[in-house]
Amino acid sequence: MCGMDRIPIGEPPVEPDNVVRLPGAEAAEQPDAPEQPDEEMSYEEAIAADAEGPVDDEGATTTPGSQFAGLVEQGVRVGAGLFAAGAAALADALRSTMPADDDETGGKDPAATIAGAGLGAAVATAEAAAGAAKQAADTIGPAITWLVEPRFAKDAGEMAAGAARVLDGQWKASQAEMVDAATSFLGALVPEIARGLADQVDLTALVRERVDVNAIVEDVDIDRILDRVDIDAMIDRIDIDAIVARVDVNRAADQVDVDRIIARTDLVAIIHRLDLAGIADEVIDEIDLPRLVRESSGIMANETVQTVRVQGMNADRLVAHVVDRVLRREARDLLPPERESEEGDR
Amino acid sequence: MSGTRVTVFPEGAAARQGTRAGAVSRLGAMAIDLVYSAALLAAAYLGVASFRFLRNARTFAWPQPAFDEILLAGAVVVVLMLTIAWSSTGRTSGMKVMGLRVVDPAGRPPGPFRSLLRAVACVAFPLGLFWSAFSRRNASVQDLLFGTSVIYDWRMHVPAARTDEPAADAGAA
Repeated sequence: MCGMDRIPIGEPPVEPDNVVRLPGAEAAEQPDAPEQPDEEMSYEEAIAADAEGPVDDEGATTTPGSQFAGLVEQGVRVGAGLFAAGAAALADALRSTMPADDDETGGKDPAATIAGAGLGAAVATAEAAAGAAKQAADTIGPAITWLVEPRFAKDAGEMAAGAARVLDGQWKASQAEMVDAATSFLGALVPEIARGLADQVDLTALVRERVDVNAIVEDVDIDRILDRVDIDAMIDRIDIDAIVARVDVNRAADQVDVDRIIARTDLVAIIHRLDLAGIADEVIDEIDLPRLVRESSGIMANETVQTVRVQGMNADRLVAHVVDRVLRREARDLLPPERESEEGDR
Repeated sequence: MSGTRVTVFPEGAAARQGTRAGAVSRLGAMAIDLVYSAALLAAAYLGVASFRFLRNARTFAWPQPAFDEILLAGAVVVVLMLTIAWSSTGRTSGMKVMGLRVVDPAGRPPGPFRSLLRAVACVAFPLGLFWSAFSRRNASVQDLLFGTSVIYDWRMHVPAARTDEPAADAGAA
């Protein structure tokens, strides 16, 4: 058959007997219930109407009807999977709300048990729903053309409107209670999900990989930030004396290239600014120049005089020695007179 | 006078300080003293001439003393010079150059009277000095006459008391 867009309309009537229906789900599927007799009836008519058609069962498995069944099966499986994942998170959320009493259960977690049961039920539901959907799609295909006929659409629309009003009333009656339940459930679930996400994602690496920090920094108006900073107050809070006390000034001074500083200094200009004549006058005033000349000349004279004296001494001794040799006598008595008087004449 | 200065003696000179000086040193001192005396004599001559010139410049003429007068004047100058020098410091200019000093038996500079007599004796008989070359104590005739000695003494200060040890205050003020 043609018209894939018509296929979803026929899906809601499919309701196999072997599907386990939860009490909550029954209300949700209530809108389909009134239509079922019409669908049953129109199904008979559709069979009759399509009896002359070239379509057979074999052809139905390869037509869009079988594709529709595959989609339904896949959709149910995905739904069940989502339900399973949600059940795991639900189990954590439930566990967080329950009082800690692990000893009573002997290590068996009731929340896990509930979640597991829910998961098993979901899987069974999914498989059963998939099988039923396939069968229903195979058989419902011929009825689809009839479903879209204006007459039937009008009747069905009226009936659906009535059922919708009834359901709306039921919904409004229990709305507040359900919203409260959902709110408390989400209140426990969302932080759990956020925590799980945070555990799984390395935000730092993600930012580093995905975010151009330099571009962000370029957009930052640093001047405006600095305008808001009270640097004076910051400086007041710094103990500069303590910092200076920790600085090794000698070590820093060792690193200073004094030669380079001197090379850059205009010594001639400095000398020109000095009163050299005045300094020289002061220095000369401080020096006793006459005494210096006196002493230096005295030293020179002293050296000359010493030489003459020593030569005189040597000459004295030589003459005395010669005379003593000539006179054939012993060495002279040259002791000083005061010692001589002490020791007596010889 | 740099009294506080410590005299540094050349090698061998220190050991001979205070011993009797020989003839050569004394003759050298006498030669220097003769030159010094001649200079003093010339100065005296110029002084006399100046006096004459100032008294009567018109009749001024250079004084032309006789030889006797010159000898007498020279003798007076030398005696005065020697007396003053010996009695004060114990040495003349020539003796100071040669590092000599005249001392009495106590080791001090001779008194004025002894100095005068010794000076007169030296001027009257200069050859007496040469006896020091032959004396066993390096004594001249004048030394023998007046009990004086001439010693090597390079120290600047004058020896004071006879009880003082000469070596104790060597180099001191």
